[in-house]
Amino acid sequence: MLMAGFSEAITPGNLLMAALGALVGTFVGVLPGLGPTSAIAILLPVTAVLEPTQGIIMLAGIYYGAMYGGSTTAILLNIPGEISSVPTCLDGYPLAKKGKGGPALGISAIASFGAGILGVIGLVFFAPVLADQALKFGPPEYFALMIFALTLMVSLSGTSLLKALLMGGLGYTLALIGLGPSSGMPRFDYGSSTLAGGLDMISIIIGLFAIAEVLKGIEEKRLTTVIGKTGRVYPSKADLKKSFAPMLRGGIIGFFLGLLPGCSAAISSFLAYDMEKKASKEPEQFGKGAIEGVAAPEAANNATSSAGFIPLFSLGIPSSPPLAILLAGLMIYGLTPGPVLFEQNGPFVWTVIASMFIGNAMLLFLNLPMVWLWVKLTKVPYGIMAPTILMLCTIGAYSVRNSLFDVLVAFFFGGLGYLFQRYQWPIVPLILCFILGPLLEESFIQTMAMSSGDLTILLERPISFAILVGAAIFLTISMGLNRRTQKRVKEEKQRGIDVA
Amino acid sequence: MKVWRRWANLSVSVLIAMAVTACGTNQAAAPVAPATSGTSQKTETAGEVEYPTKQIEYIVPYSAGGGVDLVARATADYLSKEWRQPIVVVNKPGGGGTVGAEYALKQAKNDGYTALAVNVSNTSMLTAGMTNAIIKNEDQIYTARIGEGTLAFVVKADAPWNTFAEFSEWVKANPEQLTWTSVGPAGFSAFGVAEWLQAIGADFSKTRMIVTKGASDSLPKVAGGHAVLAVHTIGESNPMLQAKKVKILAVSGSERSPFLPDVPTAEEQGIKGLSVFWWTGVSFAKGTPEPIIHKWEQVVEKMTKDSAFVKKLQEIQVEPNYANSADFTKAVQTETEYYIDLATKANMRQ
Amino acid sequence: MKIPKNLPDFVGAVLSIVLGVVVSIEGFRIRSHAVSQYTLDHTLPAILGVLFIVLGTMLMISTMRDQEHEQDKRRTLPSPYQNRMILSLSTLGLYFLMLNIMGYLLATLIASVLLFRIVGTYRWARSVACALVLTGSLYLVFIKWLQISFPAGIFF
Repeated sequence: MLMAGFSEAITPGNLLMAALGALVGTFVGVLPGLGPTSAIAILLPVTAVLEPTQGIIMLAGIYYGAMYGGSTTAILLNIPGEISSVPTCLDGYPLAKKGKGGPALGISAIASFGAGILGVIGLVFFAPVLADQALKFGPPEYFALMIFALTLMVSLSGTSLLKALLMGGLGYTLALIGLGPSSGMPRFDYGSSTLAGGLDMISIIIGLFAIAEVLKGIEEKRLTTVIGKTGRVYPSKADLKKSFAPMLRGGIIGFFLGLLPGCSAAISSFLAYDMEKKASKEPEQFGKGAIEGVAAPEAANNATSSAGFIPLFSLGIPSSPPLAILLAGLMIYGLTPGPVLFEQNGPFVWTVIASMFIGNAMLLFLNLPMVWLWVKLTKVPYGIMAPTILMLCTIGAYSVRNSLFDVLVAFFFGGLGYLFQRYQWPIVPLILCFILGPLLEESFIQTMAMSSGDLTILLERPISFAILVGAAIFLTISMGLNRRTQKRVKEEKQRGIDVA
Repeated sequence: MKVWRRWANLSVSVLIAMAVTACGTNQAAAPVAPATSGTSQKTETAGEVEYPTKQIEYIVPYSAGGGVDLVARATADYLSKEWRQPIVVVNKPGGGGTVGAEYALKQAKNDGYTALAVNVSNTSMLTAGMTNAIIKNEDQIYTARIGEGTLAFVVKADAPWNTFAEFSEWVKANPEQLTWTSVGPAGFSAFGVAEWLQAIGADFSKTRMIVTKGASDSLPKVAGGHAVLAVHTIGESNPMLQAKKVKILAVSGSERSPFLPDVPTAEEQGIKGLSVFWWTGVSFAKGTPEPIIHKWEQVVEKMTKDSAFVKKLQEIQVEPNYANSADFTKAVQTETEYYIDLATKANMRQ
Repeated sequence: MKIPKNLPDFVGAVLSIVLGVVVSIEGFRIRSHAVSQYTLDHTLPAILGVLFIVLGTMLMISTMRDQEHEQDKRRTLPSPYQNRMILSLSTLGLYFLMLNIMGYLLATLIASVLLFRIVGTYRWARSVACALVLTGSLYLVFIKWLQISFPAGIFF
């Protein structure tokens, strides 16, 4: 059946659509703030003039392309196109600054490709079984999972745990603005209906990363975006060898988390990054340009996106915002997801799955040569680049909700992000808590409603118990590692070397 | 080859649209008759009013992909062709549908070029759920209802109850064991559950609500056994039903749904008085010129009879149900009063 | 009172404590909305408020005896180009105001002329030329092709 799908997918028209989708997706994804969600939402009307098969093939291409495009800017400009690309920034941008932007982009393309293929294979063989297992995850399990993810804060905290915790608290406070999950009444709105609508994650990220980075660049009076030589464009054998295991681990983590509805690519890419840092023999290299730190989150990110098709196709549950819009695309074409989709529109589904393989491959072949082009882009004079990035940031922040308020938020957090960087307050915990806080609160409230306010439910259910034990173990390891890293930092300082 | 022709068509239409918008913007203040009290005569000649002369923004106060959004997109698609002007769907989510509604009704100009997609959740239920809602019925002109969706009572596929009557008996005996999902205390599902419990005489306050983000979040919870009951429209429940992870015990309304002819109504099983249903339509800010409202009424009426449009709605399990401005407004007002009463009795009003 | 050795962190600590108080007050206010005994919109905000106050105090104490402030001071020395950064940020603020008043195209044009002038230190003529190209391409890609609807201003 898959073969029939392949033969259908490689007709010139369909191939063209896959290529076009991947290309357009990459292009839109490269623009700051315009991640897969906006890309698909904006381009949905464009695909509506096509036949269903071609339209969906193009949408899938756009989805993968936009995911990849977001990583490109994350690495080269420290601008994550989507929340899930934030971990990619952490090591990708330092690599680019060292002149190793080419290899980082190459590894990210290869990791995306590998994990994407892994995800699609999972979709082909295990879709119904896995979808069933994912349903076992109820509120207590999600709550435990969020607690687990929160332990990451300790290892991503940088030099001061105290500051990291405070920034995490700030992130959660920002997420609190808006309607309360249980009562539906506004919190922290102070009578303003704009505030009652809440803050949008994308505009905060654009501000904290992109705008703050540009402001820093202006202050340093940079001549081009990346200082230093570009270096080689393709990753070396040593890089590939180093990244292979992280890719595999990241891909597997990403795949399983991607099955859970509501567990976004952001969470899995953060988790994968952290796991890699713990597994590494030299964790102090992370954050300063470790190639593994690019490979793992990129693989996790893409595996999650591919795995997301499993609950979408077999149960009709979109597990992330871009998939929700893709679902809208399916429904506009009159295709209701679910097992019936496989039965009634079998040839169609297999064609789409086959074109996912092709789309992933195409992305690799389109993007490896384009790495050169992207790297060239960083050589454009900063006087041209900086205003252009700022204007693109404005559009990116605006287009998510079509709201001018979001633009103001992005500008505000741009200034704030500059101050944070200057006085060494870590931004990553803020973003992590902004994403996790509301999920944690919601699952907490749901759990309490299920158990009539009895907390022991968390320990009675085997899955949530196991996750909580895992969290405790990880926390202990993190604390240990953290202490070790700090000790090393101190030693280096005594030797008079600036390690920041 | 077909592909190329489509692309050629698309680019030509984009060019035309560009040309038209460019001309249209110059005469932005289109000669539209002002809304005065004596518009009855003008309404008859409304067909002649020059509208639309430029792009119309169709505000959807939710994220892309939901029922309201899909209906709005289908409508925008039809109207763009009918009026040869771009109708752009703009998603402004947030605040449970109030952010976009406030933009369309209070911040944008009431010149008829900003339409709002409304549905039961950001109108009557909002007013009923809050004593001081941000958006009220008086703020808008309910222009036309487009479609409606029937309510379905969804439980896990291997749940012990086979009929709605059995289930109701069980709930009456064990209200404290019933957990149900809703987006909030004033959500669509909450009204459905409250009305049903009132009808069978069970104690609403003893049951427990599990707050979820919407159907795509709540149905997996019911299917996984983490909550007992979910109340959603048929369209929202259908994928999980087809996947045989959940079953539908009953639908509301007086007749069986054409989409699920095998599922009995609640009334057939002896539970009367379930009237909560989902609808969506379009409304404009108050003060919008009446000829424009009239033009929309006409075109929506025509649209809901168009076979291609009806087919699109059927694919998302929404039934076309046109109502003109007067009937629509009256229906919403009646509904609002009923929901306020229901919310007060169930102590859901804040 | 002793002067804290790490002033930026001290300010941060004070702000954290203030934020903690604000969050606690809001948490207390929301408590009145609680609809049933199990729905707890205020629980996590309340915990958060206390957390802020405790952690803020801890940070404040640690700034009093910070040994490594010398190095931090060196790192946070203002750059000679700081003015340019502040000007750019103010331009963004102005840009937001202009967006509200005169619509997307005109505001973008003016703001990008200013930014090219400030960041690139180009001459006026060149800044205007760059800004025209930038605004034009943004208009074509986003407004014409991708149909993002920006607020219309008084001129466009």
